[in-house]
Amino acid sequence: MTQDSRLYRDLAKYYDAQYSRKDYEAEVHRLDAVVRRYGRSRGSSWLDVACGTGRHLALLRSRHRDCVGVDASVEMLRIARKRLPGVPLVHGDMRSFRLDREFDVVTCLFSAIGHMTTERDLETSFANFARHLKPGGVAIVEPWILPARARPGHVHLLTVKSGKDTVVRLAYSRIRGRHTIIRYHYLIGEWGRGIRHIEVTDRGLMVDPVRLQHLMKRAGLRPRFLSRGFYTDRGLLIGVKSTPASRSRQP
Amino acid sequence: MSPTGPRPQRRRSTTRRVGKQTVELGEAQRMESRARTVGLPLMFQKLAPYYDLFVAGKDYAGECRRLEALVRKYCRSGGRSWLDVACGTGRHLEFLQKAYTVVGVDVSPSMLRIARRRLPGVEFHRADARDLQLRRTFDVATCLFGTIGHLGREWEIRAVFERMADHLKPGGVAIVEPWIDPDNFRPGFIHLMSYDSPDTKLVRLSYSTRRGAHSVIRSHYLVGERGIGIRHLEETDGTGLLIPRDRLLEWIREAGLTARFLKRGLRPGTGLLVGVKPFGKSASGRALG
Repeated sequence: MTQDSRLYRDLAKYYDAQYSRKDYEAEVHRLDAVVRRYGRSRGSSWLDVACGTGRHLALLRSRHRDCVGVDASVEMLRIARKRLPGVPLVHGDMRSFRLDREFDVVTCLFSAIGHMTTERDLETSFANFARHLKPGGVAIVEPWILPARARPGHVHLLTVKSGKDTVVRLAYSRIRGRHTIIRYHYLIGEWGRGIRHIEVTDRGLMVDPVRLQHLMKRAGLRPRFLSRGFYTDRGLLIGVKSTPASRSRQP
Repeated sequence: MSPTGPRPQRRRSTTRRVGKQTVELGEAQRMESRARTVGLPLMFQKLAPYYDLFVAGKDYAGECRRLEALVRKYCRSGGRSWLDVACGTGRHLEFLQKAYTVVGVDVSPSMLRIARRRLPGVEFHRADARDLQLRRTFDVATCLFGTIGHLGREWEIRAVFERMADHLKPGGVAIVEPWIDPDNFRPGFIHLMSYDSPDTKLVRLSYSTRRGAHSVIRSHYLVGERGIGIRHLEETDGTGLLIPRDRLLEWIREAGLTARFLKRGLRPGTGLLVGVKPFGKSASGRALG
């Protein structure tokens, strides 16, 4: 992984507390609507790539019986396993995991795709998503911040109380070429134990919607970009795998 | 400075600093081994420009109303002069100056600079509370916000009480807001102070432990500024002496004031020490009625 893994290793324990206000329910609702609108396959099997602690899957699995998660962080998966007994969760990199089966839906949410810091990696991931889709299946990718909507120079503060512990995250974003460089300072204060300071730099590749769709197409999926996503600076990228019928219609 | 180190000469001048030590980034580890440092806390030097933002939630107006009520109750000297020892950026004085002729004293040049800017007409002096010698007396002398917690030894705190007493008129009143009461001190506790505006984000996360009679507060600071970036600083302050209230009363009485301890302080868990300078020369060590 190109990602500084400490973000998910040392901080996995506090991940859910950090995003306690994220509206997973509404997101899953929207994802279902997108699948209904664009999906052309019959089933509802669902693969969530970079599933993290399994917050989306926890809601998805009550609607769809066949859910599977993949994540590159062992610590995040450990939390997901506790949350999702019975759900197959696989440790793997989004570019290279192989499940030897196909799904009706493949999602990659909360800009996890932003950890792919080159277009080549991005395309490799998209191709891997395509490999795991049934004909007519749909991939939904929540991209990283769009270049036109980035706000460099901003500082963002997040404070999280988790029991008697307090976690503070202060982030500062810059732009270097096509990448966002976000410097995170974490202070982790644990009752009776002390305070740790963790500094993490996170690079993310910003790709505009036109280019994103182009890469999706090259990976073999019919692309579509929805500018209304879960966050105002991102949108949603969709890729539909062609069915034999639609393939025959296209020259 | 070690506890057995040379005792600074007292009453030499009014401008001597408590310590020359400045805590540089990355030096914090070394600081830890000599936690009872005498350097000024980061808040009063490097972070002084952010001090008022850090304490943005503090109710200075309410505290001053309470202080003035206490003065009306206990002060018998009749005048309206007020000396604030360790006045910091002058937030209390800002309110007190409306009804009193105020003078502020602080050891930190950075804090005084801000205080002077805030209150251009007010008299300020840079001085160490232990050596204070203004050669005048006041109706009220205050030392607030646990400032004596920055002095790690009994003689230093006694010296502050004595200097405050020196600067009181007969019938004048001293009000000291002590450091944390030993009964209310919670080792292992994580305390967060933060400030969040679009341009500036400030965080202080501190962890309290206890070493003998002293509190040891390990603080991490994050300062984030739009267009500039983030700074991280840390320090360990092991100077706070956790003093039972009867000891405090004993010391302030031995400084020549009739004194009492008020359980209800300006903030929860600290209380207030009130001492009145007796008329005449005889009295000392009496309880305040």
